[in-house]
Amino acid sequence: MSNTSENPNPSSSSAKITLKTSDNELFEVEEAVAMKFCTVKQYFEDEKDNDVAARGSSTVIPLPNVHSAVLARLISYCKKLPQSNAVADNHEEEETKKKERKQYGTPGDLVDLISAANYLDFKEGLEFFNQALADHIQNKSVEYVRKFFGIKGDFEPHEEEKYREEYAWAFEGVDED
Amino acid sequence: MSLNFPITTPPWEVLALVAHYLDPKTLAIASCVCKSWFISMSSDHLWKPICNTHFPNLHFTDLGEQVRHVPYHRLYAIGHAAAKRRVQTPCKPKLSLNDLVFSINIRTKSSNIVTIAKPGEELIFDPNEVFKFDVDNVNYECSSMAAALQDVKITWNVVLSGWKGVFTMMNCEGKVSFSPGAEGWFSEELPSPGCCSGTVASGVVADLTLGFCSRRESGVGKVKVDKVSVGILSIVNWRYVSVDDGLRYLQHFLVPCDD
Repeated sequence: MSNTSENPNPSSSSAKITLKTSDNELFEVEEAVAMKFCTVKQYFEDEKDNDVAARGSSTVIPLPNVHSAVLARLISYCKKLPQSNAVADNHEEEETKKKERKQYGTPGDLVDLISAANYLDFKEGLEFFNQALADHIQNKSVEYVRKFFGIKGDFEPHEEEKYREEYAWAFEGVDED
Repeated sequence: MSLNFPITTPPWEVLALVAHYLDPKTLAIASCVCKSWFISMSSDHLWKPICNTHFPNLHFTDLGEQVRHVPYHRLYAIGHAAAKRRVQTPCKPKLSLNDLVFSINIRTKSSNIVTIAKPGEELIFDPNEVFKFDVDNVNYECSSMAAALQDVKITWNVVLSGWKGVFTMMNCEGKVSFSPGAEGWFSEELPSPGCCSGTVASGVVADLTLGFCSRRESGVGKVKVDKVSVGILSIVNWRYVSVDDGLRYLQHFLVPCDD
């Protein structure tokens, strides 16, 4: 998928930035990709101010909160990003996007991806993974959501009854599990 | 789900992020998952913008004290109930056409012209399933009275079978010409149903059409009432109301409320 011809700015495609994950793996990524991560961008720009010569692969940016498996997926997502930021303007497009989101990963994956994207301040990714996770529980029953995330209900029976009463309007017509 | 590894509960910061992507309904259900989710998913921080978008007029900050203690998720529930009340779909009518007999009487000052009594099941339904029925086989003969308009009195009653109730749909006077090809159209506003005050208009009228044709076999000077149709017409859009709406209207007057 990493087709350099898709890069809108080929001159910068040669510049590489090295990222170091929590499990000490090194990733050499194109600058254009790395700059999607605002946390990295900020770090990089601060570094650049200090030492212009440090620009490039000699700089290793540590990402102590991101595991290599997660970073690999973030990078591949980044490369697949469409060039235009156009919002899906028709129903069909929205359906395709929804399908894509649904197949993207397990809930555990998505939780990890959201955490990492949040830490890296990777806006497009954050939006996509959040929406993907939200899609999974959209209009599902309480029991389904608990099973989905492996959560045990910890309410007292009277408490749960009270909350369900309060939200009774929402319990009409939820999807079958 | 066939996940081989145990999934850990999403950390609160992930919940807080995802919460912004949930629609109000899912957010409400998510609030009932467990204690920590209730805190994340029911916060004013999430529900305030939702309330302001969906029900901006429910958010009166100038009332201060009185509304300050209503959490926004509850305010949303109130707004939701209010909106639903407006589009409430009425329940199925308890009456059916088979319970009813339509009786129609047309007379002039001096004589009775025609009296028709038709059980509901013998009425001819309109293909659009509206409350408009043709009454066939009227077959009533009367003398043609040239082109002169005659004063007539029209009464249309709906009788609940077994004489358990009668409602007068129309009791009006009008003019009609007893000549071949002539048509007479009569309408009268119906009273407002239920307990509403008289100032609330019902918005519906009873409507009745008569048609005459010549009758060759009987010789010159005779016409036949060959077409009678009755219906309930909405004056909001000048369309006939649906059969169910018509029955629900009649139900107000013919069946005592039992709740």
